[in-house]
Amino acid sequence: MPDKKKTASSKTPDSRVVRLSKVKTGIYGLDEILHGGLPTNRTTLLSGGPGTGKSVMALEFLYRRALEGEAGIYVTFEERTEALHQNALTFGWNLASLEKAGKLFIYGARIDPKVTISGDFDLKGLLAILNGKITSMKASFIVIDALDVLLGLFDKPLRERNELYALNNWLIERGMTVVLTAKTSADKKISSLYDFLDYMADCVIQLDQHIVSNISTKYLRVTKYRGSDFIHNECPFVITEDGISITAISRVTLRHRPPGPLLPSGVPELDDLLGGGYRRNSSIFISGNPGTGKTILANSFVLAACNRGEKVLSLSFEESQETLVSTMLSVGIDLRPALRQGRLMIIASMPEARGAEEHLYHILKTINEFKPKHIIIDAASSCRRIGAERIAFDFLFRLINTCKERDITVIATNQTKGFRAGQEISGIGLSSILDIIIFLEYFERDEHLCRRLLVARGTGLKIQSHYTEYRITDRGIELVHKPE
Amino acid sequence: MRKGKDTSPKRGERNPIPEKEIELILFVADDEPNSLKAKENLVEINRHYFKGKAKIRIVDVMEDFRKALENDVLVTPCLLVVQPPLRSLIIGNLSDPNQLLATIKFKE
Repeated sequence: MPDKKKTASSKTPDSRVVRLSKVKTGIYGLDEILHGGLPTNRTTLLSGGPGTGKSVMALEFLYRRALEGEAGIYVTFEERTEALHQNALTFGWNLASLEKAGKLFIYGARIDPKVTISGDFDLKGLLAILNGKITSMKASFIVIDALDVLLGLFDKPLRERNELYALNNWLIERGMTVVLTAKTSADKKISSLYDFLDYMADCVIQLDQHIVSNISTKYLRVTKYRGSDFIHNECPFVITEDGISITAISRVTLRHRPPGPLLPSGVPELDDLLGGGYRRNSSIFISGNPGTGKTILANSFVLAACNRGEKVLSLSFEESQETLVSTMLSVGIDLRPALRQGRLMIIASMPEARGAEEHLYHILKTINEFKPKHIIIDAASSCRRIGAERIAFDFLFRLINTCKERDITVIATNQTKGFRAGQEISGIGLSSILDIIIFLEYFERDEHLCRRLLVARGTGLKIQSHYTEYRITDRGIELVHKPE
Repeated sequence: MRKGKDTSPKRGERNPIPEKEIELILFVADDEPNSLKAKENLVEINRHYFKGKAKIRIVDVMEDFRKALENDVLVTPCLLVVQPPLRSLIIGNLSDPNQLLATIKFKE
């Protein structure tokens, strides 16, 4: 049986090491935030306002465990069973077959808000149902979704808490790993029930939704995890067509792979200035005003790489594929064979079309499926249109980080405005993960507008850092004065 | 012609449900105090109002969880009204008989 458990140790006050057993959720990015997964045989609370993704997260957890052959029960007091099945289908999850195999039980329990009450009662009915199913399925996991609706039957807060406590205790003693979801109001009003839930649970994950620059993004934050370390930051996530995806910045940026051997830039004389070429896995930043030839320079590399049989993923935020191909053709760079052979994939999208999380998710998904060796981002500067400057920077930072972790060379172009403005870099933080920086500029000579480039930085390279004039011809970029 | 009990509606009165057409299922949880009380109360209500004629079935959810599942019985004790065909649930130990009577629109 595959080892699904990761253990983390925590020291008790008298210095014994207590191992906390965890179970992987299988939700992309979540287990890393939880340092392994949810606590086994303990209670986790997912809380947040409506539409923040609690029910989906809980259901995906059960679904992924069921795929591993571990049975779980999903009880909801808010949705009908059919609706749940339909929602799941939009993610491509076939719940019905897992139910048939006895690995899942989905129960949309109806609670009539106007039910007649005559005297005292308790939750033994629910307990009996759960007990029966747990036994017959040998279930290990249980999700109780919309717990607040169930507890609303009891009119006194004290009663609510007692019933909840009894239910939770019973489930834990039965050996279950419990996930509860509860709605908290949008303004996070502290109700006594929420306080109690928070106290009772061993792991609490808060889900939220912010609207920044007209784009709504979901966030989650682990606010508590007894006996374990975890990532404390608020992490954005997205509900995709496959389920939930969290792409948090990795905790340790030192997971970058070391830069590799030298690769041709596609412009032979430029390789001399670079001391040989670009290093594989490095990040290259080409910055300049419009028309200086940034895209041409980037695609010179693309052509050379594809001719070597290496796969390139080109992210175009500025032009459509057709425009890009024909523009490059006019300077002697023919991308069509590489496209036909499947070595080059061009994804053209408008930055404003989606939020940063969704962009990132789709790009990462493409990286996983297409497995490119190199990625072009044209242009990093247009990512500002995704949302606020901070969001754009965050998006680029994470994308470049991911590439560095996966042995992927990144070339990013950057559009600047104004004379001699080629020397700007958007975002100080980005500078820290850029290995090679090339500025492309206009300059005047004898009333002609000429172009020159400068290799301003080349980490790990023996670069020649002086201005070199170049021309854009129908054979691409050609440097005018041969360097020493 | 032998006259049975006159059940025809009196002037100004709604048609009362004949006692023998009442069918109830009481879901209980073993010997739990509220469940015991509900059993006692129901027997008393049957005797006092329905002249013992109502059909009553007791289901222990601890022994038959599937019946609880079929009827969405999440709390106990819980009374399910089968006849008249309302399929409504009354939850609680039935300390107040009026709830049941009002639900089935019973008139003495």
